[in-house]
Amino acid sequence: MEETTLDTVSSATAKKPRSQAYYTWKRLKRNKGSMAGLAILTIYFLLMLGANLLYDYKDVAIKQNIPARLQAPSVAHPFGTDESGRDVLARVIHGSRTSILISVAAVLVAMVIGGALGAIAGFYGERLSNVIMRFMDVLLAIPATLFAIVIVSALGTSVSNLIIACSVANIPKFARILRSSVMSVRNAEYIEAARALGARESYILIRHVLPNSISPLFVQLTITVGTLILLLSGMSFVGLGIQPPTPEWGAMLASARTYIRNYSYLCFFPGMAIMLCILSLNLLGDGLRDALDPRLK
Amino acid sequence: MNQNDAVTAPSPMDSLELDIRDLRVEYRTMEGTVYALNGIDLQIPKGRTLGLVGETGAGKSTTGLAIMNLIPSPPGVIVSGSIFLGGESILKKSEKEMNLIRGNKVSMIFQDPMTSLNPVVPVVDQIMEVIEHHEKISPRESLPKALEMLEMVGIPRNRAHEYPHQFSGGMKQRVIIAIALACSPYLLIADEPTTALDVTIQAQVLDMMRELRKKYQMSMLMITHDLGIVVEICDLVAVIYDGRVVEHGTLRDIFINTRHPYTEGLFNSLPDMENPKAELKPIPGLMPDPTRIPTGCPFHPRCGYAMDICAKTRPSRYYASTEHYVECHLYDEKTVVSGGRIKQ
Amino acid sequence: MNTPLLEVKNLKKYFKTPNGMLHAVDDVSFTLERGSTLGLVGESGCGKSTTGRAILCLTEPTSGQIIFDGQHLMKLSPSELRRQRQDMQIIFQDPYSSLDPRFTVAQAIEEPFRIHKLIMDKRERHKKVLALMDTVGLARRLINSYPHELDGGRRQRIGIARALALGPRFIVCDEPVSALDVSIQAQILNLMKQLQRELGLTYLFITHDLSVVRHFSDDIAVMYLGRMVEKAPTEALFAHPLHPYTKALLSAIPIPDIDRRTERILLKGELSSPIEPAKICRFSNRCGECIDLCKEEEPLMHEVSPGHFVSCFRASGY
Repeated sequence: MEETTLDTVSSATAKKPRSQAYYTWKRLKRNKGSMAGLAILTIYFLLMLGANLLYDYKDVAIKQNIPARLQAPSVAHPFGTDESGRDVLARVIHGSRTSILISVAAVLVAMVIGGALGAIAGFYGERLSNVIMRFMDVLLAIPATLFAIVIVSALGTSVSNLIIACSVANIPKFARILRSSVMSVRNAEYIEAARALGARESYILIRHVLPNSISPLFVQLTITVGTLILLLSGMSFVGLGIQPPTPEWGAMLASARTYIRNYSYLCFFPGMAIMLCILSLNLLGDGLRDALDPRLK
Repeated sequence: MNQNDAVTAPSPMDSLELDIRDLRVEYRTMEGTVYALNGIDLQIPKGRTLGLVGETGAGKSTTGLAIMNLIPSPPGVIVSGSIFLGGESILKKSEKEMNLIRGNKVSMIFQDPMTSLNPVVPVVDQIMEVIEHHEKISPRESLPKALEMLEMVGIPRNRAHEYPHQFSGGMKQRVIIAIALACSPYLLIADEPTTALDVTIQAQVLDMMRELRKKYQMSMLMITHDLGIVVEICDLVAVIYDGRVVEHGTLRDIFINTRHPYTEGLFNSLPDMENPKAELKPIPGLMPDPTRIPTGCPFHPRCGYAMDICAKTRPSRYYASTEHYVECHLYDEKTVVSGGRIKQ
Repeated sequence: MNTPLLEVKNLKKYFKTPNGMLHAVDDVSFTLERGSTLGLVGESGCGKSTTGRAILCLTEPTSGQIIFDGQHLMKLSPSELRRQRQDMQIIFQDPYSSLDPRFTVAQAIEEPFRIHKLIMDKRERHKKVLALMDTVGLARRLINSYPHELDGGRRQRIGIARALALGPRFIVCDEPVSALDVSIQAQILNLMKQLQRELGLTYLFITHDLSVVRHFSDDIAVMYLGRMVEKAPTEALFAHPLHPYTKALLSAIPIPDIDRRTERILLKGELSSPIEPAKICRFSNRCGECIDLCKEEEPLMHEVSPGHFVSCFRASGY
């Protein structure tokens, strides 16, 4: 009898089963800013992949060509040439590999470690939370740049050390964000509902708490990639980052500084590359935050 | 619709505090147009209380907001119709003019007392603010008035300077009522004022509202889903379904001489007081999707008496008396008086 | 079969607050027969929801005994308790917040099986989900919908399906219809009654709505500030309310009938604080029938007529 009292009004057929990712993508598509950001990032990504096809690393991006130094942008060199006669466009494209790869890797490391610590701190009781978070506070109290400089000068400059240096300083940020997000989800009624069904705590954490609290982390991720590109530039600037002649955006900016008066394009193009990259990451991050909320259609 | 308009108001215009005619409100969103009010008519004579009864999505709250001219726009659009407050049309008023009307002529209390008060301002200051704004007087003059208002709703003077979080839910709702009545409005719109309160507190608040209504000679629009509250405080009842009044009448008309199948269904959904163990007879199905209104009578998919014509044309309005009318194909001009239904 | 399904003895649940112990549930005892419904009534803050959760050990009781079908629940290990949950379930008040927004209807309903690793075969599980959806009256086409796409009544049906999935014998219903519209309320109440008849379920029905509880329960227990103040068979309670609080509560219900206006007992004031309450009658400050003794001692539950218990010095049998 009850079956007939409901849903007799319309008799549409069942919707296709769709994953969360499908709906997230559908919602993201509606946000024009994010789509623009995503498009730009795709271009960066393709350039990163195809860098060697466009410009040979050894012959164009590294090899000095003193006679052709400091040329203004032209058809042959769209971004001009630098103080050693290397094509700036080629260096910007090859530089994206180092800049983006290091910062993305560092962010992912920070997110995994910080996220795990934050989730545990937020989900399991006050005592454990206190221990973890006070340690995080100590890390947070040290300025990120200083911290990175200390680590690199202690361990030496290499790509892996740079990744470690950049990630450690960012772990507390991720831990804090996920912890507060987990703590608000932890008390939701559907968590109690799962417990009432007899679910283990670890199951609840993985199946219910994390999926519902992780979206602020993605936003933080996109923002942090931006700041890390800047941090890397800063490191190169003080000579502790990527060593010349390896192309890297920050290093390029640092060496171009000397010529800013007469050859401003040397600063302009790497600067633009950094700015566009960060801008599009932030646009994407904003859109992702909204798109990850299942309650929005 | 013209046919409905031909049968005009049962009482002359000047004695009506509120007069809504054929009001249509839509919310135009990305997902489609929500038809919230579909030609609603409401009249409240001076000094009387009308209960607006309906379920979620029937358009109760939209009606209240429309009277305050507070429909969020976008996405809200007033498509047609008129609202007269004390004989004055309000839909054409500017925001500045409306600000003077709100509070002075019409006030509204909302369902949730927890979110309607500013948490960082002492309650007495919140009342003074309203009085100062409308009567253009100084704090020195408004303070005694505010204290008097609080006393009237049963909050002692020594608690007037406390903050909202120091009050219980019932006390907060009293403060909100005091704010609403601070400038003695002619019409009070109460949107589910006691839903968030416990029954014994609800009884206190309803009791107080009855007294204040008498004292101020106010008219009231009581928006509720609880037929028990309607009995407590209303003179007239309008049952709305899908943004339209489907039955209207005095308490006796609605509770004893019920005509519309939806009204009947609402009563059958409640446990019977005489026979509390009898099985409930719920209305089958759900409220229609407000973006896709059924053709004809909007209630026909859930109606046990539905006939062929119900799916095709909107029923006209039939008057059993000057105040009791119903919009249903089961009746015609004659049978609506006796209550006999047209056989299929 | 003659033993009661559930026996609660001297159940207490205190919460620590900066101002002292909050006595949410204070010394509550009752028994629940198989297949019956006990209505637990009271106003917000009286401890009725906490009682429901403490019985299921969702919040750990401070002291007392909970004997479910001969088992002392408070003595079980965590894993034994998890297994025991197959037998005792809960339906929540708010179908908006008690469902994970990221789970489809199918995922939500099959979750109990996943948790207990019961039906491992995917197709079997799908069949079982469809069967449960039929039982609670959810159209099969909604199987891949998300909760936010559904109205309150349908969501509450999902909650009921989840509770039923493991075949429990006892269900705590925590205000299952108070978030729903009147016509939908009646649909859900009828469904729950029908399920009780067909499956022999035992309910603890927690609500503030006295007309609903009268329709639904065999016995009613009234709570005030953490204490149970009166317990009686439903009709006896409505015919002879003995505790002054029960009387006030009953008279405060707005009755949708214009010819039955009851004389109203208006209570003075509001709830007193549940933090470290004095050892006197907790209702004495609002009670119209209060005598000196009420402010000196705390009344105990005693039987005044067969099956009718009350904790008031002034109550007598009828």
